[in-house]
Amino acid sequence: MSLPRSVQPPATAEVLSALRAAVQDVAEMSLCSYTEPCDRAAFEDAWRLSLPTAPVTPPTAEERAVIAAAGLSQPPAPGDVWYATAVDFSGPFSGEVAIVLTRSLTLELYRSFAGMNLDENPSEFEIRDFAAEFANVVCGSWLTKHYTQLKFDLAAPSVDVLLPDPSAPAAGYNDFAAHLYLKINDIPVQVTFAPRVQRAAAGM
Amino acid sequence: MNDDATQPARKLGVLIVDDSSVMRALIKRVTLLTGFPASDIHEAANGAEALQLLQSHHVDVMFVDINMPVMNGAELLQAMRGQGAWNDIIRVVVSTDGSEARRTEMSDLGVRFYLEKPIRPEGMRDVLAALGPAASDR
Repeated sequence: MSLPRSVQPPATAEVLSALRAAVQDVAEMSLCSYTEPCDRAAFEDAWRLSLPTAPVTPPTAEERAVIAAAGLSQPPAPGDVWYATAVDFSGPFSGEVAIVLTRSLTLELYRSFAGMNLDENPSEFEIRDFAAEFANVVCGSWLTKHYTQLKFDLAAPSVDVLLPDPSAPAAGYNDFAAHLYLKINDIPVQVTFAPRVQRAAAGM
Repeated sequence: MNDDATQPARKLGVLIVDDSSVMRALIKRVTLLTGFPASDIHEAANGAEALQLLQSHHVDVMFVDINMPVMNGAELLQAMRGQGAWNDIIRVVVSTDGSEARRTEMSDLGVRFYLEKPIRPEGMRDVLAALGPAASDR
């Protein structure tokens, strides 16, 4: 039986649900971490609180309320760096899976992955390399589990350090992109699916 | 002193091909932790680097990622086909892509074992346990 050369990209809700399951599987089964649902507001609060302009003194009552409302027991420290990792995939349908997460969370996950103690400090290169591998594994797990009869090619993942900017990372995508939010070890993470087929169909 | 009366296992040359340095480090670490009889463990970040290493080093077992820049795993395995000196190398794929379509393609390229990422140490241990006898049978 020949494989289909192309298929319609799946519905957004279906993709986000499957991507959520992939992140949970990778984080919980392989990285001894826990995941929880979270919403965009919680992510944006965490993002804002980590900007260098965020207060370095203990938070005010108002800020504590924001932290509590976001459900953050440990808000990202001001100045914590965010990584934007992205993996392009091509096959019967094509697109990009991107994950935005803090450097401190990446370090935590890497230590778990590599069996490192808390006093072991990997290099910046290793931490970013792991961020790339995390996105790669999430994207690959999603595609493998849901499209086992189809073959996709994944490009080498990219990792960018996000510059301090008051606008949340989701603002950089077009209308076809869909985002999901969840917490890994209490830290909000943004996962984005941006289908390329729909962009092409729209003449973009 | 060696109390084991059996013949010591032959040491095996290992090559790890993955563009992720952290993944190479993990595979190397698990390989060593399981007591796999490795003589040398070489690393390459893509298929082209692997081909260069194969020219000058003895390799019995290779762990190969599929999605890599410059030369991917499928291209590497394709390039190794028909090269008599490399026919006996045991090929193990370690990839996020565990689809049936990809597994079939890799099997056609002579892959004996397939490890799907995220790899779990126990899964890799099982493959390593099977590799020793497989290498001896060649």
